[in-house]
Amino acid sequence: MSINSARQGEVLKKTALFLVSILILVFTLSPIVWMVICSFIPDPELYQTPPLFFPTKLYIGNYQFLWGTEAVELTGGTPGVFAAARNMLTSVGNSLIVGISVTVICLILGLFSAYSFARVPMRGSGKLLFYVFFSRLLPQVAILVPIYVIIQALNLLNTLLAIILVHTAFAIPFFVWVLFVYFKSIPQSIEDAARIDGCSRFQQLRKITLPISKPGLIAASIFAFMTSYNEFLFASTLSNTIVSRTAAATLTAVAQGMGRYSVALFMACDVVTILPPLALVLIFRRQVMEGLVTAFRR
Amino acid sequence: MARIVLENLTKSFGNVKAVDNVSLEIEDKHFVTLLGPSGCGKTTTLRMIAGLEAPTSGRIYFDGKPVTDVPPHRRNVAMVFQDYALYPHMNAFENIAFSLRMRKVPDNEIREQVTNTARLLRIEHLLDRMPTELSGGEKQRVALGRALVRKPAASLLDEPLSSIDAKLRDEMRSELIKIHERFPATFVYVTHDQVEAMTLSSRIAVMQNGRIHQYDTPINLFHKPVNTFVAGFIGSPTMNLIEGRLSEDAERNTVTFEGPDFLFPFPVRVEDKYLTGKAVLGIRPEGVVVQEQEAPGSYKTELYTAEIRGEFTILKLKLRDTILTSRIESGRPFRKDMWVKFAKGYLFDASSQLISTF
Repeated sequence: MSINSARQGEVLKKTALFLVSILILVFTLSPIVWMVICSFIPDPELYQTPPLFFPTKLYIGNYQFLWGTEAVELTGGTPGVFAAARNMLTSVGNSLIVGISVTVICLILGLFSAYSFARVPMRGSGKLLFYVFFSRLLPQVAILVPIYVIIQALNLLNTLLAIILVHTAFAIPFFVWVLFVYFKSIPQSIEDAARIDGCSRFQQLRKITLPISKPGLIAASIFAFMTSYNEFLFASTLSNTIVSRTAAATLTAVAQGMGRYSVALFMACDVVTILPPLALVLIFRRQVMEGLVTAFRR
Repeated sequence: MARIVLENLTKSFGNVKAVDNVSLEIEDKHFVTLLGPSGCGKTTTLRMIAGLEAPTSGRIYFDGKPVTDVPPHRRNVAMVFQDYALYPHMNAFENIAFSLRMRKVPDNEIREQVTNTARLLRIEHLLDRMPTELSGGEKQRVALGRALVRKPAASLLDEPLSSIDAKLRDEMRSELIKIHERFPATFVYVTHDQVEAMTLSSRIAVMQNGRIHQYDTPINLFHKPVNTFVAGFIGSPTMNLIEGRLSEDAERNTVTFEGPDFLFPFPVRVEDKYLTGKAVLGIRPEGVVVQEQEAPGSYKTELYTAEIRGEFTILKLKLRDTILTSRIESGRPFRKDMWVKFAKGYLFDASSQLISTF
């Protein structure tokens, strides 16, 4: 009897957990699903009542407009908006260039910085590490104007390099933190063993420490990439010409200018924008989870 | 194969001297143990021999060649760590093969040497496994294999048996003796376990607070401890150490040890300079001989506790306020009131150094 009720309780618990998970999934995924659906519907049909939840035929006119193969009849936009939308693909390309550059710079600088914090005894390294993270606690708006002035003085306004520099500064603290924790979780004796087995410091890093830290490296890299890819405020302020915008800035420009009658096109822009990060996370989801678990377990 | 010489080795971490002016000569192919309580500097000494730690001052020689500034990967030493330190992303074979790969040994030779080593350690069937799929004892063997495969100048072992369970530890201890026979190389072994040290070593360096108290054979450490620390550290149960002072009966030309609760006429003549100062009398538990009857030179004691260990019995006896540990054979009856005689003992001076034995 008691065993049975215990088993019933177990089943109940699992069912409840399952239902809650489904609820959370629906909550987080439904806007995305709705976005994808809308992007495959011709704009005029979007405003029917009742709404078209499941379009009967796949309409790709919105995407064709982005690719510039078909001029969809669009009304209600402010001048320049369609040009901006036409540049969506370039903007996604810009975002990728910026994101990948940020990730590579983070990898090179952050790797050595995190390793030094984790392994090289230095006076005041604990304090230094704190200030690295402290920089992330400041409200970003507060430093927008100073950074704008600096970038202007460097003559880098409206260049991708400006965004790369600023995004690297934003991304690297978290990158260092994730890797620092990961390196710390590797027993010192494994590195000692490698050095005794014939590795120089650098070989030991390359052959032992980095392969072991692969999940941490991938997780940290993806976070660096996403920090850059999602960032809007600085990207749109520092670089706001139609050719030098990132995806986030272009999306906003399109959304602000378009008015009511081109929502479907905007949805298509959205879909194009989320594809690269979505692919990344799906490919590396195991490593991201593992890296995160290690990073936050301590 | 190497003869290792440490010369005035000192290592400070901030204000703490972890190793304090240690000099040691380790003969080629010997099995030498650094023995001491935790924090005595034994592991730091081993890490300096390995090159993982740079000495603050002092020199290290391998076969007469100075290696103090040589990085670990050029010293040709192997090391076994307390936590095994296997590379988690490689299987057992690659773990053992790693040092050979680093030295660019051809593949077929690597295969042969790894297989040979694995056979001697009886881990051939484990070579495909990842470290997470191995038990503690198996990991230990792989770690040993990794250290032995490349025929190093010296194998350094840092408490290799401390993280496996007691039964397996006994097994691995005798295994280690066999391994040293099969791989005749210089072994430097670090442990806090005196049984491991006594059974494995050709010589033992007993360390405390970064200094070596005595560097000697296991037998000599037991029978001729240079001071009270070594006397108290070696042997189980530990030696009875009783503080008191020496006095002299000039007429009869005898020396008496005045303990807190008893007088003991010391049977051996000691040098005059010790005669007025404090002294420590050391008697091993097997030297405290228990008798049922009073006899000349015996002291009356009262039973405090008795521990029946099976192979022998440990009695704690109260001689007034002094508690003496005695070891008697298993099964021998004991009662509340008994008399003890001191059969074999040591005398230490005020600075704890050995003066004399009887």
